[in-house]
Amino acid sequence: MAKNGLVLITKATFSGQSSVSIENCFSATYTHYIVKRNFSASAADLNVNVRLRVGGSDASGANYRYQVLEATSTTVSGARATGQSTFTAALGATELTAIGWAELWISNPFEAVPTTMWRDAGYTMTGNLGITPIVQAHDLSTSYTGITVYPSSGTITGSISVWGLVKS
Amino acid sequence: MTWVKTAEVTFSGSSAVNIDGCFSSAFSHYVVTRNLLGSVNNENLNVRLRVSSTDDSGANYRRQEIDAASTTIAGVRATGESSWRCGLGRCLTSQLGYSQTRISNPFEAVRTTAWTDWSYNADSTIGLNRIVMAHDLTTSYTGFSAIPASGTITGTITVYGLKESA
Repeated sequence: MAKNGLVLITKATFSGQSSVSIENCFSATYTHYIVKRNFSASAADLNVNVRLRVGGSDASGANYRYQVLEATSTTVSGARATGQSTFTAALGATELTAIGWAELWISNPFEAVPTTMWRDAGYTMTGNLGITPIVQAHDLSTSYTGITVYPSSGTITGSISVWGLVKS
Repeated sequence: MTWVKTAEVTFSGSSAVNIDGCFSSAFSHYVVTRNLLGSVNNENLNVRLRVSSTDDSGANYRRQEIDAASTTIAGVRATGESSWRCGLGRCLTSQLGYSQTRISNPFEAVRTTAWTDWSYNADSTIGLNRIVMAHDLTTSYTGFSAIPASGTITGTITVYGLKESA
């Protein structure tokens, strides 16, 4: 039987949380990770941000940067920001009546090199649809072992899963 | 969802990396990840399909890109190329960068298609690039080459097949 190349590391389930910290989901066992969300929120259309984490603390310094591409109806736009204190909308935006869709790929969070990520997401709020791929980087060469996921306000209820891509 | 690692190649100072035998009839769809540095910063890391230990270097590759750099959004299309330009993103000298490639039907005797998401994030800037690619021949390929446009690469490339049956 072939060895599975994609391993579920953890699934965090929560209710009414303003932030969810997932510890020890990153290790030397993997280089690349996939994070998926399956939650609803107490308020709609708010960024679901992610901070890297180690030693029980978030990395909240101004070392995150992003480039986003957004398509909504016939409007296409881009934006770049540096010196951010979080991976902005790294798990998309909150929705009230739908789960929303987001998939986050993270590379090298555990290695002592800058962490990079790509997130695809779509927002599907009533009367509003959009596509927002975003790429982000964290500039420090620090080894991180986890993440904190938090909406910019309000709470989230549901689950977050983290998979690792098997290497040698 | 079952992914099976079909190849992992580690290399150092290589001007081309050949990955043979990673495509087979066992899978139709593949994911390729990389973890590498280049000797030349921001250099294209191109891809050629490969069979019987030989690259297919004919002018049968084409691509459509979308690029976001700050508020500037640009697209480009090219046909008749001899490789998939930036098929594995770009090499950076100081950071590993991000790239993820998905390839469909390389082994089947139909046209191969691919998709790559990559970022450039060196020198205090960051950009987003997404490419869809196709190869016009209906040839069965068993591998590919990763070729920096100049210089060398050092690191690892891993290929996963997506299992479709029990």
